[in-house]
Amino acid sequence: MTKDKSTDFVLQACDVSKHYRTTAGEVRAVKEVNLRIREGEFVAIMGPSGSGKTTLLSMLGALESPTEGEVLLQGRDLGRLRSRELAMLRRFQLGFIFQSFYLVDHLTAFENIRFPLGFNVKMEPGERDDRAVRLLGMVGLADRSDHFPRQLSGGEQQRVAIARAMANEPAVILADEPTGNLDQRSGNEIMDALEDLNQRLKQTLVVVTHDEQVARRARRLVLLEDGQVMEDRDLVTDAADMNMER
Amino acid sequence: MRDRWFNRMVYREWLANRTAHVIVIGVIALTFLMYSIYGAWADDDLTTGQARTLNIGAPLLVYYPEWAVQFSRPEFSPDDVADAAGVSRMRPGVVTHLVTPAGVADAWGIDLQDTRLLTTFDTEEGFLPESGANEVAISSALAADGNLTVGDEILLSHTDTDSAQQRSRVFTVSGVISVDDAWSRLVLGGDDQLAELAQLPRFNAAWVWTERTRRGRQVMDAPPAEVVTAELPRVRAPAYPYEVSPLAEKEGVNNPQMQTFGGVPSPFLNRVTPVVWHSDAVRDQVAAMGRTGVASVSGLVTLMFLMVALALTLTVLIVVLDRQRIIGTYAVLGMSSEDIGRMFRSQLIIDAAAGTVTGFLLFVVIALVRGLGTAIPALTIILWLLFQVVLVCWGGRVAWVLSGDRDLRSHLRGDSNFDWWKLIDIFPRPVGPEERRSEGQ
Repeated sequence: MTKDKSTDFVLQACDVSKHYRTTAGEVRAVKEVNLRIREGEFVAIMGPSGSGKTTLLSMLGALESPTEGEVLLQGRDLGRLRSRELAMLRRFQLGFIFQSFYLVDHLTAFENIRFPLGFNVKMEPGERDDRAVRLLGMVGLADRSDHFPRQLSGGEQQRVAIARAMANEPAVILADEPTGNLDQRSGNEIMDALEDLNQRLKQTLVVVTHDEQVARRARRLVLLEDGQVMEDRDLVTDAADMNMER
Repeated sequence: MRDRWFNRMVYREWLANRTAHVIVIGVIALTFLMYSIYGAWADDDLTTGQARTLNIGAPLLVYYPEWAVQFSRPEFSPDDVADAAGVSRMRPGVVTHLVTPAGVADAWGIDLQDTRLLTTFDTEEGFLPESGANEVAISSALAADGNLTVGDEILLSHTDTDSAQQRSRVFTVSGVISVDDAWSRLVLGGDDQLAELAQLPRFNAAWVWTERTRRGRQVMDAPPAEVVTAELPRVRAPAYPYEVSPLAEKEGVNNPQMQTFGGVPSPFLNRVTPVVWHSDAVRDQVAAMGRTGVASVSGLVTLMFLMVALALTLTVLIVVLDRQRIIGTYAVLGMSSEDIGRMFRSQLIIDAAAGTVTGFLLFVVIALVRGLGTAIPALTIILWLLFQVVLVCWGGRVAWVLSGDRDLRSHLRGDSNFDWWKLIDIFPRPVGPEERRSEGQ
């Protein structure tokens, strides 16, 4: 697949592969995956356990380096960036939501959201505080700002993580099994929040999940199996077609 | 991240890991305590004449008198030792026997301008003699025997053993002092005046006995049998090559020659260690120390210090590695490696400062209890500060390397395959595609 260095696609994976060497031999977690994501898309990457979806997401977010191929974020090859440039990228271009939340335990909900805002030197400290408060309110936790993660439920922690991911208005939010550690109801609340982000704020989202119900919330579904893309379809178009057929 | 928010995050991070940091502070405090003890009190040993240390500004060859057999070697001059060890404080003294109105007494001359030596004496009445004032202090037993009191004038006479010439001078008793019973007939005066009385020019042989007591140095008088002449190298030194320190006595080191010293009972002499310096190379002393195992004791002390320093370095490493997951989280959130390194350096600066202050306070308390000095040599302090800088930078470097790793996912899980060589890779190259592929593998 040829690289498109224009900014038509906010995120591109071009023939990316990931190999691991183990005592049992070489393991190919991801095999020559090509993926292009436009701005404002809501993409779900689904697959069974061991299909390589989390590995793919890690490479898209520069948390891991691909063995082969390139990952481009707004036309920039992540593999060629230095450590400091990657840090800048993670600050302002990428947001992350993890299955285990990865909130900072010794910071309150407010401080967890305020933390990434500390990098934004263009904002006054007061502005940063205000934005953190607004984001906390947006995820419905305005009254829990002084609570530490251990004092919040799983769903509440994940909402804080969503607000944190949005703090610096990133180009893309990457979510790795965001409902994996939650019950059905909390999971639905989280997906409602993500859907709202995408529809209302046109936030580009890439969600990795093994749950079909979660995947169906997205607008585009990429099926991964054994490290390879098996299917890549537009769910909105499919749903419309199905309605028409009825 | 340059504003107060960063400092607040540093503080919160320190607080979150406070148990580990308190441990680091404790280890730093104990290390500094040990380091300053050797730096300060080893130097004190030299000045009392009791030292068998070669202190080159750092505790490289240091041991306490209580630890090992001490040696009195006739080969060394105080200048040789002073040059080698940076010591400039040696006190010449005069020992002679004077006839007082109360009979024969042992007169000991000291530098009356040296207040450090004077403060070791306890006065029962009056005051210690003043320099240049023709005053002497006498022991309480001598005062009782001769019915002498403060203000009395006594005639001190000395007969030269070679010429039989007698010289006398009147001194005023300025005070009565407490001394050990073995030296009951003691007259304490200025060494310059007593030297004139005994017709002895200043010489570089010093009989200085010290014994560590809870009250500080209690300087004892010299044995009465010998008079040391002034000309080098001819000295009527005692026949014995060495004296035995208390610890050596406990350890069973036997000196058959050292039974008495001019009629003075050996139990008393075993409490003291004479030092006689003559001209010769310090090198021989080191060689002698090596033959007798004293140098090995010094080496053991040095090794102990290095082991503690290594333990401290590893403790800091573990403290930082323990925060691997949170470092990964910070990196994922966009904190640069430099900021993460700075965050951990800031925390370690807090630990280093708190540990050093705590260690210094402990040192002062121990010094006050033992009645010893608190002056730590400048070079000791400089070396300590350098060590702290290295320790702080080391911790920051570990955090910097962890956060710059390209496999952040493993850090988040807390199971990274940490590349230890990166700790010493001071000038890392930017990673190109080829390296990136091999890293991915």
